[in-house]
Amino acid sequence: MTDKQPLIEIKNFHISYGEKEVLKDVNFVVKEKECLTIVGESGGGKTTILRSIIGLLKPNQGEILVEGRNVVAMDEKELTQIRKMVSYSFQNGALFDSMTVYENVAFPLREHTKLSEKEIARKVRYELEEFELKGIENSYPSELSGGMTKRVGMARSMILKPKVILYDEPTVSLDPYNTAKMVKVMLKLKKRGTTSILVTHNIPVALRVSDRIALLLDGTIKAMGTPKTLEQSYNSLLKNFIEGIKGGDK
Amino acid sequence: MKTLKNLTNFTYDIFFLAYKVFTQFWKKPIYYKIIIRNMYDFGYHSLLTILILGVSTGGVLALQIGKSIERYGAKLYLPKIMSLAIIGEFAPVLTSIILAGRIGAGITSEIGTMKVTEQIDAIRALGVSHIKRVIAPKVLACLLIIPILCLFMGVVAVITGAVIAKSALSLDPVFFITKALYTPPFSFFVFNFSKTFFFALCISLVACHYGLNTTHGAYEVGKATMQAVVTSFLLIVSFDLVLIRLYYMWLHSF
Repeated sequence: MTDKQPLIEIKNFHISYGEKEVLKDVNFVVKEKECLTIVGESGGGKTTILRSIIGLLKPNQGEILVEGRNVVAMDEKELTQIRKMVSYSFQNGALFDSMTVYENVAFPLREHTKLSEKEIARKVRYELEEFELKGIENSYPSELSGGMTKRVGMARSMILKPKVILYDEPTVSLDPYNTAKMVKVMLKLKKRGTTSILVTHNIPVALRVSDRIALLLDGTIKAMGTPKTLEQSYNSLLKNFIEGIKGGDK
Repeated sequence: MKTLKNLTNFTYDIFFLAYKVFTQFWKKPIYYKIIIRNMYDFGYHSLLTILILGVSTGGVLALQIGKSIERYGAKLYLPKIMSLAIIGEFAPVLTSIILAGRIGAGITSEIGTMKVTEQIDAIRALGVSHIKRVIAPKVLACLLIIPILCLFMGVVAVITGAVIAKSALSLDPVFFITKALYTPPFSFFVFNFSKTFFFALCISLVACHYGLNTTHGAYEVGKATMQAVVTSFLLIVSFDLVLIRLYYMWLHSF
């Protein structure tokens, strides 16, 4: 992992919602083809980090470097280029409810490429098959299950073959069967060489798909390491977090 | 003090939204299909409402004014009075108010729902400008369709007035329509038709603004929709007064 270039760098990141400072001095690096998982308490700012990476939110202070370019200083036009490269998989799929599954997945291709409808159809069908979604092309989002909605959202995010994918709680509120399917998809994308940042509360999933895990507590990264080192370490914060105890040595 | 601050922020937001719409719309790709679909949604689906509005307004005005002035032997003035009232006020203002409820409420609830279900964020996250793809087509469609609907309402109201005047007051319909058309000066037509573009901007920008600022869930969507309709209504009646004052100041300056 050490020889790979940093793709995303978060430096001295601070963000507040009103009076409340949610994130203070967050720093980390994600290297090419790496999967970094951020775990931490609900409302702790994990989603805020992901949204800030693609410029949906602006921090009060700090830098977010994607391939060395600072996202914080970019205008909407420059951000468009970043958003083609860094894809965001929303927690609830965020599918366009007036469009069918096919139209949802075809959306990025229609917006950013000049492919013919025949070529778009071929790519959409391939992507839906990859995500085990064959046969639902003409369904509307309201007709899909939670697991399907998330996978359609992920297929839509992946169709432009981005370099980086940001997963926002992809397994939340899914049954074990759908969770396993989602893990399979994430491992498949990892195998393709996609860099990813995963935000989750699901520790077994994090241990399975991540190269490194970061623990975000009290607005800052308290611990970081490979799943193996963290499992074997005596880092009481992580152990307490997994066991549901907040704080350090208790 | 807080109200003044809110009013300043609101004005700034509306102007900034208008700036973004009109600067981004012309950049490629232009979403012609979405504009046409929005025009169809706003226009075709409002036709029956506007038709009923035109028929009832024209009919009621002809009966109320006609029967009142008939007692003084002034029924021949009915077409003149009616055309001034319909072209000057009822067609642009009443139609715009109805459309603020019909089209404006629809826009706010649609955009508000997209906002709370993260669809607006999804559009942005996929590298597409939500202003260009969602907001601008709605504003443009309103600008094109609301003036036409106002004109349609005026025509329907005048024709209904002529029919009622014939049946209730025995006035010749050809006389009625000729007088109704030739009484007001041309500038009066132009001015009152131009007002409708201004009202269309008020309705669409206010509706989009409230939609984009919707937070949380269904209750907030309802609240934003109500606020958008009330604000559009107040802006239409207030600007109508200001614009009419300016028109007569301009007219008397010659």
